[in-house]
Amino acid sequence: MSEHPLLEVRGLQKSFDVTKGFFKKEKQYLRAVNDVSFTVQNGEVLGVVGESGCGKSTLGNLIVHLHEPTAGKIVFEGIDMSALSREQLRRQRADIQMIFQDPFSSLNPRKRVFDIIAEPLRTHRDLNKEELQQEVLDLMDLVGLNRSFLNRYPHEFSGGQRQRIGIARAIALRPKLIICDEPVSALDVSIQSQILNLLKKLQKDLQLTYIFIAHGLPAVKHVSDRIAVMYLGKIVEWTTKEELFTNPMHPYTEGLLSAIPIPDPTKRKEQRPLLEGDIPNPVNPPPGCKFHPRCPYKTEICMQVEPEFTDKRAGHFVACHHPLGAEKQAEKKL
Amino acid sequence: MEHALLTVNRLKTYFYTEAGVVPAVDDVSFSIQKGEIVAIVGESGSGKSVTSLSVMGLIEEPGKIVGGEILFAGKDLVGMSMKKMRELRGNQLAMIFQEPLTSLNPVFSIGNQLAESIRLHQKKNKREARKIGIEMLKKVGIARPDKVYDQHPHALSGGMRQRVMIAMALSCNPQLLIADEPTTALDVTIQAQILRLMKDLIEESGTSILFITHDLGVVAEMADQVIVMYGGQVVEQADVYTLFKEPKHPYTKGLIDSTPKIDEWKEELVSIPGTVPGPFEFPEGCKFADRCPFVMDKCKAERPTVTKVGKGHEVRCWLHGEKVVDLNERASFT
Repeated sequence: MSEHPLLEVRGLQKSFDVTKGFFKKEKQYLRAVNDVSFTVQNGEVLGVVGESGCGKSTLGNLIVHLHEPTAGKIVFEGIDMSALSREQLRRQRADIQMIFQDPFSSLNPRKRVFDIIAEPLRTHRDLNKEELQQEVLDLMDLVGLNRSFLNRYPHEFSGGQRQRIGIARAIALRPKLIICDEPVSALDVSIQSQILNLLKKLQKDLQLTYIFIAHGLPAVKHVSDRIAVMYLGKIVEWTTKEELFTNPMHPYTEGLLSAIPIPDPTKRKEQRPLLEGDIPNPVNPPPGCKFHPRCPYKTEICMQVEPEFTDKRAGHFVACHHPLGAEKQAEKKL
Repeated sequence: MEHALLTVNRLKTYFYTEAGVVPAVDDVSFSIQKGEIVAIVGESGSGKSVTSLSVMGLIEEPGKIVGGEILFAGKDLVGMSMKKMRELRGNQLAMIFQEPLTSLNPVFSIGNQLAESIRLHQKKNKREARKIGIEMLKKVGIARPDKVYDQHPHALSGGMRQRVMIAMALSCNPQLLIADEPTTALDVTIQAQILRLMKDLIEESGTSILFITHDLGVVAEMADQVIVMYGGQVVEQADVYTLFKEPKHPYTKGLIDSTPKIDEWKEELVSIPGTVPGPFEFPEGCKFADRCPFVMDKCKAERPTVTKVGKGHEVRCWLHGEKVVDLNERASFT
């Protein structure tokens, strides 16, 4: 492992101005990403999970530089990205690629499969016609697209095949980091696992690093090494996948896990506790711990003091005043 | 057998498009008993939504019901006059959709829309309707129902809107509620709340539900009976316990195996090969033939008929000719 992590995010913030009305003096801000810090090592897959409005997509967009951060740093391979010039940034983009959620709107309908996959190669690499053709065909083999599709248009393909085209485009330049923003949520169940298997295989074979964004834990479980759970712009828990699924420490993670429907009617969860309430409006978040209005374990302190994001157990980071685990064990004994 | 509330018998709904005739629902039969939850599972293009729209009498040009009957409380809904159908809808038949924002009118208040159906179908005056409406909102777990009654749809979250839709649908005590992917657009913690709410409400009222979904997890949590559709046909139906324990159609088996399970750790996820064919691309014989790991010569030549393999358990597959095959013992999808 190299001395510095591939990606380091420190105190990252992104606020959007959502002031309504022309004459309002007081500005209103939506803090989509609010003081987020984490690292991603080379060859690692970080899953980022959270419900709508938690800021996970904004986080992805910040890392590929589609948004300018309001505060904080994104350090890629030891270099602060905000310090880069336009030209340097353009070159850096070759190293960070993105796979989008909706394969129907992320592919240009007027371009043939060949041109879609070849585009990043044309922009960033100097290849002659034969080399380009060969490179595109190799990429199509790699993602399981039939070579005969080369001159077809996106509308002729199903969602799963389109997502393969998007993946081929994303890996064309052998990027060091790929942001996968909900790459399977728009696909049919029987196709989702095909794409997840493909992403995992490519990650292993090409030693890629992913940040894998999804709204549910089942989707990230298969590919991730580590998982970050987000709630209202903050990471509330960050640990290895095994640890997260077996010993969730944040009550929100516990709620997310217990809300997943189990595909086995003999295990119906009539009695299982469910999280109550709705996700609060992110423009006007609650004071103290942002999760407290929905938390079954909340006490006085949670309503006033925002918990710090700290290492509670050998690399298991949680932002909670009453992390599950230790206390729960003690309760059981009583 | 008791008299079923709804019996769909050899229903055929075709769409006459410029490109040709699409048999969206092709010879579908099933029935729903009083107080029962029947789930239709299938992927995009399986015909599950068209089946439900046929029952509601909401098929529009170029679609047409070309065969079969839909017996609801003893009356055939096929060919029923618009006027009579309108009386049934809202009173005895109700429907909720996937995206509550598009089914609510943005310019009218929640109360206005809720009261409309109550006044129309129950012949109540404005004040009585308001009282019933607020009571309904309370019933579906909306805090401060009298305030929400006067709000407009945009002011509510997705989960709240779906609660309002459910309140509207149940306000006239329908005998049958058709729910078309009611939780697909919702976050997982909200989905769990809505599913539990639906279950509690119908336990009280004895309403039957036809539940359309693509998620087998949701099916396992909710359904009594399950209908699996593929390519406009019912490929398997059974009670929920039998279906998950002993699936007999390779497609059902593939769907169950490829649904992610949170307590299972695998190197590679199970997936069904290929994609759902387009409307004109289904194979001649069995529609699932080119994705099926058990495919035989007969499957490619001849469309399978329905075989009874157990009590209330039917499957459309040639595998179970002379004797019933146990798919769990066969290595199938990888």
